[in-house]
Amino acid sequence: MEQEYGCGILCLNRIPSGGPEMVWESKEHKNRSGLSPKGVWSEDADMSLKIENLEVKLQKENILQEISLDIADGAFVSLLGASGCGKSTLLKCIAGLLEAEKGSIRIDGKEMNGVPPEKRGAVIVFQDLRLFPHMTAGKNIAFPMRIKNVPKERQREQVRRLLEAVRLPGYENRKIREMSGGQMQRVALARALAAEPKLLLLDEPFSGLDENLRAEMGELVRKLHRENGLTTVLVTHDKQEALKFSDRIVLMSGGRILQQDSPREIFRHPVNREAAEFFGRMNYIQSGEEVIGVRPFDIRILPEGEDCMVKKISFMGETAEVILDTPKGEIFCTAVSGTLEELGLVPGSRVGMEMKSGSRLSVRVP
Amino acid sequence: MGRKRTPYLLLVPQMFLTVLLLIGLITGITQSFGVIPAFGLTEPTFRYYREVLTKPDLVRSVCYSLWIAFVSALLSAAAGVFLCAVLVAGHRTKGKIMRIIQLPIIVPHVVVALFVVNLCSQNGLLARIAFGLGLIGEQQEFPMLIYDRYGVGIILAYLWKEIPFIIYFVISLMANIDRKLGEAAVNLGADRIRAFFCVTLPLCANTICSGFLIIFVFALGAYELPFLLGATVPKALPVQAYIQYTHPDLQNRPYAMALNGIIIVISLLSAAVYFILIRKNLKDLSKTDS
Repeated sequence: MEQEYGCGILCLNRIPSGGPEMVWESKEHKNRSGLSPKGVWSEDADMSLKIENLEVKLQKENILQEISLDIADGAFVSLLGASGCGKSTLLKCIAGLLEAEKGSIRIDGKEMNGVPPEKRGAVIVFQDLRLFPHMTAGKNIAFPMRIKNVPKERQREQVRRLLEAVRLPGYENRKIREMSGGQMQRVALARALAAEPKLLLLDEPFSGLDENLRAEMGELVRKLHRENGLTTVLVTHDKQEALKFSDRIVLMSGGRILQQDSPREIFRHPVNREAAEFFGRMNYIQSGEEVIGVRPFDIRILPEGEDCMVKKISFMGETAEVILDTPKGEIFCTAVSGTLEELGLVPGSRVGMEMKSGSRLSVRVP
Repeated sequence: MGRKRTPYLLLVPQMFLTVLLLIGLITGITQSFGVIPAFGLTEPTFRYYREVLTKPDLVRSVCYSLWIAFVSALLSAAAGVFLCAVLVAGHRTKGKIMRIIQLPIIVPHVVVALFVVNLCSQNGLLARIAFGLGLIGEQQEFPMLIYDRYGVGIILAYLWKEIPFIIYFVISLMANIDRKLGEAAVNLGADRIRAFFCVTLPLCANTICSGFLIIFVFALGAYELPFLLGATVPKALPVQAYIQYTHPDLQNRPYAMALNGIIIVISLLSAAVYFILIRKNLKDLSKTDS
C-alpha cells in the first residue's frame, strides 16, 4: 500500500518563464512504460485516431491550439478539463461537425480533411442526447441502420440485441417522452453503437444524472467497451470518472493539451501546478532551493511531536480535512476521520507530521 | 385584495373585445338563419344555407374561395419551407437577411394588389417586357394572370405576402432542430438531405401545418385581394357576402350572413385543428427540453 501511494511528493523547480515546471523524482517515473495499459502509447500500435497540430477558431477566437493526440485502437481515453476548455469542440472537430483551421485528423490512418461528418465513422453521444422525439426508442436505435439500408429483419434483430446490451430489453416501442433520463441515456448509447462507429465519442453524457445512476452508466459504458473493444473517447469534467474508467487521460486547459498520461501517471506525475491542482488541492512547501508539491492525502499526522498545531478540522464523513499550522506555513491534509478520532485530535492539539513516502525521496519537515 | 383583482382588471380590454366579437357572431349567425325581426323575418330556417349551398353561382363562389385559400396556403407553405431549408443549411437565419425577408409581412394587401396589377396585367410590366422582347405579338396575348377564373393573380399576391410569413413562422424552430437533432442525424451517418427529410422536416410538420391553416383561414375570409384582383365570375365568398350585404333588397341580408356562416364554420374547424397541433407541439417540445 505504501508503495502504491508512496510518491505523493512533487518537486517544483523554479524556471524563469514564470510558471514553475514540476519534475517528479521517483522510481515510477522511469518505469513509465511498465505502467502503460495496452498499447496506448507504444509507437508501433495501430492508431485509431491521430491528431496533429490541430487549431480551431470560432468567431475569430482561438478555441483549440496545438492539439496533438494519438489514440490507440481499442483504447478508452478521457478528455478531462474544466468547462469551456475546448474538449467538446475537439470532439465535434473529430466528428467533422466543426471545421479546423489547421492541422490534420486521421481516423484509422485515413486523413479526414474534406471527409463529410456522415462518412467519418466517429459517432457522438451528445450531452443533451438528441434523441429524435418523433420516433420510438426502437426507431431511434434503428435510425443509423435505416440510413445504411440495412434489411428490416436485421435492423429488428440488432435493435433487440442493443436494447439488451444497454439493459432495456423490450423497450422497442416505448416513446422517448415516456422514458426517464437514465433510460434515454441508454437509448442514445445504443443508437450510437448501432451506427457501428470506428470511434465512439461520449460528450459528458452522464452529466444530467444523479450520482448512483451516473456510476451505473459509467460501468455500463466501460463494460460495453471491454466487450466490443471499441475505441472510446469520453469527455468529462469529473476527475473521478476519468481516473476510474480511462486507460489514458488527456488533460486540457484553455484550448491546449496540458498532459496526456495514464490515470496513475497523471495523478502522480503532473507536469505543472495546474495539472496537479486539477486532481485536488495541493500543498507547496519550500525546501532549500526547491518547492515541493504534496497532495493532502500524502501527509500523515503523527500523535508524537510538538512542532505542528491542528488549526481546523472539517468533518466530511469517511474523511476529514485538517489544516495544520506548521513552521513551514499552513498545510492542508486529508485523513480518514476514524483515525483522527482514535488519535483524539481537536483544534489546538499539538502534533507532528510526515510525508508518506515510499520513494527514495525524503523530505525533511523541520 | 388589490393583487387579487389585478389579473381581472388586466383582462377587461380582452373581455370587452371578446364580448363585441361574440355579439357580432351571434347576430350574424341568427341572421343567417333568417331571423331579422326589423325586416319582418322571424321564422328560423335553413333555407338560406340550403340555397347558398345549392345555387350554382354561390356554390361556385364557395369552391372558388376554397381553391384560392387552399392553393395559396399550400404553395406558400411549400415555398416557405423550401426557402427556410435553404436559409438554415446556409446558416443565415438571423440578422439582416431575415429583416429583408420579413419586409413583405408589413406591406398592406392593397399595396400588394397594386404591385400585382402593375406587374401581371396585360398592360403590366411583364406583358410589356414580353412584347418588347418579341415573345408575344401583342400585349393582349399575354396570359390572363389577373381577373381570371383560377385566381392566379390573387394567389400570386398571397404568395408574395405569405411565403415570408411562413419563413418567419417556421425558421427559428427549424434552425434549432437542425442545429441539434439534424446534427445528430448527420453524425449518425445521414447526409444533409436525408437528415432534413427524416428528422428536421417531420419535427417541423406541426408548425408548418399551423402556418398553413393561418394562411388558409385568412385567405378564405379576406376581402380585398379577391375584390381587387378577382374575376367578375365567379366571385370569392367574402366578395359575394359583401354584395349580398349591400344589396338594395334588405331581404337578401340572410344570404350574406349564411355565406359568412360558412366562412365561420370552416375557420372554427381550422382553429380547432390549429389548437390541437399547437398543444401537441408544446407537449413534445417541453418534453425534449427537460
